[in-house]
Amino acid sequence: MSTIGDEKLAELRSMVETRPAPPPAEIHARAATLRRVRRRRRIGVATTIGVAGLVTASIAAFSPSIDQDGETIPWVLGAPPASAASTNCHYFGGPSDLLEPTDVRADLVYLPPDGTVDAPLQTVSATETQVECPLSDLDAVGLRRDAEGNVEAAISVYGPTLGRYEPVDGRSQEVSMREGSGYLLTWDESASQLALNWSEDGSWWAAQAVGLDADELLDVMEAIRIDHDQVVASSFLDGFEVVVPQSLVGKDVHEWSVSYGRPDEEPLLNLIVSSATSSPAEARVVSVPGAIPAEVVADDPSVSGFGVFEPSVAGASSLSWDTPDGRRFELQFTGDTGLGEALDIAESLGRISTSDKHITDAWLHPEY
Amino acid sequence: MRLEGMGDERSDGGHDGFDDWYVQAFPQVRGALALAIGDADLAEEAAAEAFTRALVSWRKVHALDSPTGWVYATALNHVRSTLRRLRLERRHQQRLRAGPRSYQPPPEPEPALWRAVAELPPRTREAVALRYVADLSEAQVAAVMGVSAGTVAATLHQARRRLAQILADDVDKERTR
Repeated sequence: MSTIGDEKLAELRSMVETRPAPPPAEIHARAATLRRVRRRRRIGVATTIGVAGLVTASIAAFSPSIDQDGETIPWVLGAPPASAASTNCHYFGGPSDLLEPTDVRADLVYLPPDGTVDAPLQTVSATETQVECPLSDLDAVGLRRDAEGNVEAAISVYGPTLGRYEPVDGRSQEVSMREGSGYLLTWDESASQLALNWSEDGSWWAAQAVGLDADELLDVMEAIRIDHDQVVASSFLDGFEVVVPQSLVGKDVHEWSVSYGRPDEEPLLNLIVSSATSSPAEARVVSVPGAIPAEVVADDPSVSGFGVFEPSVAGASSLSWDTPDGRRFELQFTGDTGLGEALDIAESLGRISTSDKHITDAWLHPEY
Repeated sequence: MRLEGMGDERSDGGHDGFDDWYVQAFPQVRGALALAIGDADLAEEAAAEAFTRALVSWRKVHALDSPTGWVYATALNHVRSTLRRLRLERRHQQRLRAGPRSYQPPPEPEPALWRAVAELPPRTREAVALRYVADLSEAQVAAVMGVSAGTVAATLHQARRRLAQILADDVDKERTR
């Protein structure tokens, strides 16, 4: 059988991007933050309440660059990018460190029972992140349920936001609202998603909704009160239950993460358990097109909670849910896993010790 | 892991040589990681994170035979621990058209080769990137990947055969068009 030689493969070197390195000052700024976090941990003042919202951070981190030179900012479907992500943040969210097994919070360490996943444990890790930047501009989420308790409509309110948005692959239409004017945004790809963007008292705000038509959305937005850059939860119209995300800035978030997969393949399943979140599942009902609200009801009550299933697109699906004590669980699947199978795995999760050999063999340690 | 047997890549400059070394090494590290993990944006972030950690531990890293080898090992570990998750999440984002800019390998001299490497399994791609883009020896690649030198040699041998096959198939397809 033919083969190719080293000389040919060495041509790869000339194909590498020649763009210069980011300025060293950026690395020094990141390093300063990382040192600060490590000092805090060493002197034991970390207030581990965990957080959440690292998903939001990642989305913001890899969103398209925001062009503020023009009059408008492009907004794709999904949550609008966090305004802080583009300013004064050397990390997306905050610096993160790998932990040793002895430093992991026991209330995050779960695995599915042996034999549930048709692949071995690939990697196991735990991280601690000190959140230094707001991960999202989300202020509040309003949910309306039908008589059976199913979510029939949801609205997320974000603000202050980066500025005036213009939907990518969509349209904006000027509307009268809140004693001024705003913009109603719709996307060609998702007729079910609506958004509003308006300015008041010198700041821009945005709302995103599913399960409502434009008139209903405008009615709700007309009624809400904004006080000191915060939406007043009680000002949502009757019939909406309101979830207000916690701010994670200055807090430490611990995260437990395991991957199942064959050694030389993409993981089949990731399980991530975070100690807290600023991106409640209710918000993802609104921001993720096609998301299905889901209730995880496990024999182990510490695993149960309200969540969202994101059906398979481009070969990946996920189920994420929040427990009443503020932890966030997420299962990410490669392939066409359906809601039923995802719930089966979610509801089978059980606590495990970090000294279990399954885990120690696959652990990613902080020192290399 | 101690990365032995690699050449001295240290240089003088600000912060005991860190800045000069970083500016010089970063583009190649980013490029090798882009090929190894198949994602230019994640590569950029992983490289930045690894150089950050190198700076934080600069006294230790600077004293190693190969600070760059340490950076590769750290970056790849970072990818395994956290960035893989982001990659999955971004698949969801792609449907939202909120994904990152897509990476276009430079057109010269032979983008087909780059694309062919991208078709290899992840660990094989990693070995090829470290050997041929990062220009590490097989022993150095073994140290970074945490496997034996024999495993690296076998992996690269299989990679060369597979790449020849992929490139030949490409030529055949082109002819039948």
